[in-house]
Amino acid sequence: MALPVAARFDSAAPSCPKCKVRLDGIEEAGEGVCGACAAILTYVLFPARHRPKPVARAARSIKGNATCYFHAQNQAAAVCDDCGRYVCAVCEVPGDEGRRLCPPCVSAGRKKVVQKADEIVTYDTIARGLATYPLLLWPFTALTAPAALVMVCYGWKKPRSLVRPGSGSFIVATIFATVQIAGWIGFGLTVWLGGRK
Amino acid sequence: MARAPKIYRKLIGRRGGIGSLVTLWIAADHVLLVEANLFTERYQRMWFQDIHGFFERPSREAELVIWISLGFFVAGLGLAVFGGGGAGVLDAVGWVVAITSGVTLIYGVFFARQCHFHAVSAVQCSEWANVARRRQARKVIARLEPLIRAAQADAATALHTEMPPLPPGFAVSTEVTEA
Repeated sequence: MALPVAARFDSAAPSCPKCKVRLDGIEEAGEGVCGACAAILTYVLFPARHRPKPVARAARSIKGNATCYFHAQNQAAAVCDDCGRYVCAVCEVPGDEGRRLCPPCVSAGRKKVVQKADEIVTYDTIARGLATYPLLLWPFTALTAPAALVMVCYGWKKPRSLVRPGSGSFIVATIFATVQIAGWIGFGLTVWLGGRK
Repeated sequence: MARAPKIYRKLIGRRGGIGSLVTLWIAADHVLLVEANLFTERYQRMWFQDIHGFFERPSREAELVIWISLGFFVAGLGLAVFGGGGAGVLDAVGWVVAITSGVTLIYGVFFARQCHFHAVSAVQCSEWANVARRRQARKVIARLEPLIRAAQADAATALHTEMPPLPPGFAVSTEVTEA
């Protein structure tokens, strides 16, 4: 069945995942061909698509009232907790712990927030990699084994993977690195004692 | 550091390129897509109550891999059996081609991408790259559909109560009257 392109904007009409054009005549579940790009689509839809998108509306300013820093015609609804500017309901961005921020302050802090929430460095994987992979080229373990131990110490208290929060990789890395370091110490002692004799 | 409580269960296993892996995890109220490379993990969450639907569109990758490797497999086997007459270089080349393409054929039949799977919400259309086989897509939908429908029960109720029934004595006319 061909799925016609929506004639007007309809927020409940889902978009084709390939060409992003909104499609009409889509049921709860079924198959169809996109009317714009001819992609064959199998789909399952849920009731949330009928939920209207919340839209912020700002009140118009009356003479004498405080106005938004970014929209002079809108009445101020809040004060940015970071920079102190007045912002209207459109510009107000809810932050952590009930804070209310303006868009530039959100942009300024975005990198930090994204780093914290959506991406982490997996120190356990790095430590395990440093302790195991160089065994294939064993002379390098003289450098990588201490580095693995340093990584274990540095990363132990850092945020861990959301899906694998255990300490298994750190423990494996510690064991492997300790054995390698012990091996190098043993080798060094043997050479040194052999040289003295 | 105290062990964090485990809140995610694996939904679909890994898939990715060199040095990167994509996995899909399920929590009580959302799905987590994890893109892991050598040193970092990147997370993308999608809450059950926000998911508008799933779209699956076919990919020709598996079909192409199967037909091309089948061609090479037959050619290699033919060369190995009929080409060199027993112990020549052509026999060896034929066997190497046949074995390599046989492995590729197995990959094509069981692992190559059959479909692209997309989860759509009001503001995003996210491709779940590790859902690459139709069987996996069916499994994901079977696991998530009841959870999503339960989370969106209020939206469904609102939808059904949007138009109240007409009072007795009133009816909607379906006749077309000409002016």
